[in-house]
Amino acid sequence: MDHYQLVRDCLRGDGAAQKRLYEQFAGSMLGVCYRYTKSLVDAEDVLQDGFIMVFRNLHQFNFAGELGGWIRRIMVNTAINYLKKNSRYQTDLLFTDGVLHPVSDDDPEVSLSTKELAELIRQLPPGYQTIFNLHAVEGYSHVEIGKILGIKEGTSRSQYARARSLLIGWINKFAAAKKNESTYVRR
Amino acid sequence: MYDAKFENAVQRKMEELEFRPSESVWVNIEKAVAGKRRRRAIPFFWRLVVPAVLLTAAAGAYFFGEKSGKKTVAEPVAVRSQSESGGVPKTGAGAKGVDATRDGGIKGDVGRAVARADHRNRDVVKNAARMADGEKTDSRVAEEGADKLVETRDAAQRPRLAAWLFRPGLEDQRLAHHVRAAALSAERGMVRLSELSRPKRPWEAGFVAGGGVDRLNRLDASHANTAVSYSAASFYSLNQSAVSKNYISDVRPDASFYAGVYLQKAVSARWTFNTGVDLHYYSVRMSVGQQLNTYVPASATLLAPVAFAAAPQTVYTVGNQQTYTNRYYMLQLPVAMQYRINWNRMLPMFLEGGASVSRLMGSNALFYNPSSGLYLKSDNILNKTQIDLSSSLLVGLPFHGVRIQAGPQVQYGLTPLLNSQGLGDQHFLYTGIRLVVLPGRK
Repeated sequence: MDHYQLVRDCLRGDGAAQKRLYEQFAGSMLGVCYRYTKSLVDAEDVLQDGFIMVFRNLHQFNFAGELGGWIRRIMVNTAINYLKKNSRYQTDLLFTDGVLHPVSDDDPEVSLSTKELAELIRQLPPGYQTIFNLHAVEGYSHVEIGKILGIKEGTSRSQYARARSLLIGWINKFAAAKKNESTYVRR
Repeated sequence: MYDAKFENAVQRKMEELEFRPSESVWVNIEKAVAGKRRRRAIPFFWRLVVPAVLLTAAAGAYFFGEKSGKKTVAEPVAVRSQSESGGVPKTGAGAKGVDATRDGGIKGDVGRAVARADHRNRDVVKNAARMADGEKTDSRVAEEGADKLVETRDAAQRPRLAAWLFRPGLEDQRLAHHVRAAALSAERGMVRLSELSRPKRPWEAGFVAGGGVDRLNRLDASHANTAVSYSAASFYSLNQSAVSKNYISDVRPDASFYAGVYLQKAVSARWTFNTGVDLHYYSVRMSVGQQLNTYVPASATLLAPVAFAAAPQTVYTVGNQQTYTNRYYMLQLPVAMQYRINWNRMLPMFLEGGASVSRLMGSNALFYNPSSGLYLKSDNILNKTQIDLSSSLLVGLPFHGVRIQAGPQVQYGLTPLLNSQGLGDQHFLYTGIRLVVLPGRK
């Protein structure tokens, strides 16, 4: 489907085109929202708010980049705003300036499935989870993360290092547990 | 320094992460994008609309009532100066003018999920009545609900993967999902997507007001020589030659304002049709001389009907002893088209052009009668129905919960104010600021 025509149709108020655009991106965008939240219900809330923003600001899309990338940025921003507003996440989003943590140079083989890895990322405390998602998955620099979250660059680095280290530890433990479980089942 | 191999692997895997959102998400998005007007704006609006209608009706009744109750003084049969009447001048019919702690965990999650389901589905209860009407059978809803439950149960079980890391409270998550799924499946059956996909352009109501200055064509003294008198010269006892040397006033601009009810309907993305009803007040100032009273001598009743002869009429001599304000009250029915010039969300601009039909409800205006050399009132020489052309440039101002448009306006009366060509071709020209207030979306 030609995104240019799809956007033009949406801007004309064509409901069918709006639904096509939603159906095309909703699945992957719910994946994005899911990584930032702690439940599927919250993720759907973010998805809903995000798509409302998309349709209300579609006239600002200038076709310079990928439509999917543009929508994804809106989803990420909406998710971060949601975390900031929601009291459940707020307490864990109070970042403390810590000593710069050395980043573990472990690079374990990520043998987990996509959903297993996503679940592990979602077990990180919200602050770690957000910074890990922004840096490792979205590819934002620590300077950009600092601006987005209103924290110092060093804080972002430090929190990311802790998150990475924690996640790698969990991946290793999870992989070991899985291996033992399968060994037990074979017996 | 670490190798980004881990990050790359995570990124690749996360790109593949997809879920199927529940149908209620799209329904809610569609509702929001369709721009449903906020409910709480409606009571605020109606609180203002009722007084506005009452005010307009009261003003109309007042002016209509005054007109019907007043005896028409068609032709005064005699005039006598204050000194001749020997005392205090008699007055004539003069001018009138949700929240929970982080690890509140289990119960908190249930409460929040219920609250969110409730928030998303405010209309479920209302829709239940429609469901009973047979839009969709209960069994079908139940089936969909069951599908939803399986789907949401799976989702709720996902955190088990890392169960050795945390305590997810699966039972409560399931309960929350079930409550929400039941509500969502009920709503899913109720809303017809085809109805929501059409852009809705309903009639919208608001208020309109404006204020500025109006002017009339100059009441030139030269008309005194050529004017056709609208009353017999013999009615006046004053000598015309005596007053013709006196100063005849200019008609000067004065304040004008209007207020009323405004209705609009969008006909396309850029064009909007609007109409309404408003009460428009015009005024002009002039200098007049001494106030006189007319009365009817007994002998004159033989010449004129008694009913007419009974009412005294105030007239003024020429001069500049006092300022008199001519007031006109018009009930106006405007019809206009509005064109949106730009798509700026913060500062949209609109160009409006249209016409209006207005009816003179009341006036205290004095007109110079060249035959007698006096200023006097006469409703008979006024064109009571006026047609005006209007144009305005409006700017939309962002304001919480209310749409406001304001900008300069020019209105010109196509119909002459006076029905006698000999008294000068006078037209109202109003220039001022127009203000439109519409409750609802931005």
